[in-house]
Amino acid sequence: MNKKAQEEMVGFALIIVLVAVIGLVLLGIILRTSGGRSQEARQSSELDSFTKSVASYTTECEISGRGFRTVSELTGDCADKGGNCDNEFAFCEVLSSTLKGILNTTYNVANSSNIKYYKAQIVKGSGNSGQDIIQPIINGNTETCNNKFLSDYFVSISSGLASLRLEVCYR
Amino acid sequence: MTVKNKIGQLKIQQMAFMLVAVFLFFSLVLLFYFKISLGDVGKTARDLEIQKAEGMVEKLASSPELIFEGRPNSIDADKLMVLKSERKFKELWDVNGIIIRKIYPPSFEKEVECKISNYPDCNIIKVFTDKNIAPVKAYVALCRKQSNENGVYDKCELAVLMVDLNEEEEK
Repeated sequence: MNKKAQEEMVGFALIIVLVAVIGLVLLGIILRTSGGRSQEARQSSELDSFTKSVASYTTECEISGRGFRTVSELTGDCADKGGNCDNEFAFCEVLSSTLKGILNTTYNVANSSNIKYYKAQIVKGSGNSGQDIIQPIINGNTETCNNKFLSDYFVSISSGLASLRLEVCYR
Repeated sequence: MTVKNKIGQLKIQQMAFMLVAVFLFFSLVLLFYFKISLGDVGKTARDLEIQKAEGMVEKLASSPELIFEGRPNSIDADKLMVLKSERKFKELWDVNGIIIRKIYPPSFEKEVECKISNYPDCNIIKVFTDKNIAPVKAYVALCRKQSNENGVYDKCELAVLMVDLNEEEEK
């Protein structure tokens, strides 16, 4: 009889330990998922506002009768037919140099900064199978990243959709 | 009779041990939970503050008083210059101040505050505030009407919108 009671007590103690371990693991998971959300959300919303604003930026490319082209309009001009602005520079050339200038000014890639690299693409079509309209603009070492943010802004062009895609890696 | 008594005592002991163990277990879990959640209260308050400011930045960038011709994320600089002196908008937007800093194309080496006398040859618009910076930012296109020999066109530059929330709310 004594032995049976002892066995029951040991069994109960084991159950308590098991429940405690499971409880702590669950608590750990809940706390880990809720912590640090705001910093990520902030960086992500900053990146989204950046791509949207870049799309509205007025470039130096003027076309007679149509005025100065925005980045999103120039994306359509470059993707659909190609050609030159009134100052004889090609649409795609102006688009690329404008994006390079904006990114270089806004995102400082250096050992002392919190940005490891950025990569900007303008892609015809959607998804990963899209075709690059201009040469991707890359600054920094893109090999590894543990804190990567991606933003896509879609522009309507005559052959469908183009996407202004920006990937930024924070340290 | 004595054997039965002994068994009864053992059962009572077992029950007492169980109750103490259950009580200790739940007390420890609750203590652990409260310690972590109370330690997080300060951080949560700061996160909420930041989220509120982020929401305010988005609200301002799409408010009818400031938006440029219905373009997403575009602020009308001409309207902003007019609203600078209208104090009633401070209460309407429930902010302490709005700061918009042009970042591209780079125009001046140092900070030149926009006033009616020097607009648009300036790079920072301060509305209801003298501060130069605020913790939460979003990128916007800062647009205005510009003219050249070919007529009037829309000129949008890249800028950062910062919002200084009311002091009572910050506390």
